[in-house]
Amino acid sequence: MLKVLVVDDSLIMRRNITKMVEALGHKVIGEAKDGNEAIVFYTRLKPDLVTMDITMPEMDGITAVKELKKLDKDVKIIMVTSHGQEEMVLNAVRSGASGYLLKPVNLIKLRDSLRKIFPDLVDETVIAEQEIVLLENEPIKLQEI
Amino acid sequence: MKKDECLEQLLSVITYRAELFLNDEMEIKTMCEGQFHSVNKIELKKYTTVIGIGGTLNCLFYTTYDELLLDKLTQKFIFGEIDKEEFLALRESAAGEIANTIIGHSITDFPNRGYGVTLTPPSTIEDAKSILNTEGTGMITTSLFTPYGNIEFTIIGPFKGENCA
Repeated sequence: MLKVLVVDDSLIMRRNITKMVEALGHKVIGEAKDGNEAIVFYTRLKPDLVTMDITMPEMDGITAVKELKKLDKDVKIIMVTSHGQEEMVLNAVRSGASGYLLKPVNLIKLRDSLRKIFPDLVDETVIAEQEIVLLENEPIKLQEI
Repeated sequence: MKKDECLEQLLSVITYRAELFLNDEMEIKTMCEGQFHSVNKIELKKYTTVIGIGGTLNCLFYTTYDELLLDKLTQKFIFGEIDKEEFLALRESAAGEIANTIIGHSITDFPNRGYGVTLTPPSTIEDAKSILNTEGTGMITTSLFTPYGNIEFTIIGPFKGENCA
């Protein structure tokens, strides 16, 4: 099971990624709203993986990746971005990100990214795979909206 | 090319990407107004998101949603189960994230493939009434129609791209 730090200024993205990480059998140990918080939480919590938004207030994701790399050269980071822009993605990878996810994020994209970065996790995520189809198709239960 | 024509080009790209996003990713059928209006004032719906487009460009992008459509989009955007209280708390955030995703997907179609373009994080405002144009800026707007209401896009700015006055 991976311990994950989710970094995003968007409440809905933090919530969605957290739920997806949990659905894949891993644990979110912290949520940060910007790059500054990410550095504080990383130092304190030592997660196995960081999911990092690019465009954030205070400190953006690319700067945060550079700072985290200075703290721990082995840090594993997945960038989460709405940018189809090559420049932005390349910057992130050059800065030390292990991979990237294009928004909107879904369970399959996240699972595949985790498998690339942590090949040894395959068995664990295969167990969760049976549930992926169910979760992706499950109607959202809303009352009185 | 005149300033309004440049803004219209940007908005055309964004509207196209928005249609793809809503149809393919959100599974909401859209009909494009197909016209771009140069205006001096826009009336805002309940939720409006603004994103600054900077770097090699210089303008503001507004997205304003009919409430029912935003509810539907939020519902589609959320992963897993949710109760009403949490849903309402996430709606504003969803408005920002949807606008952010649309503009993010549009960047590669901007002039020079969007190299050098920067975006601010989305900022969502609730219950604002209208925005007025100021002298020296262009304001171009268009709408997408869906079964759940409209989404309107507006670009305001002096835009400083190549070949634009």
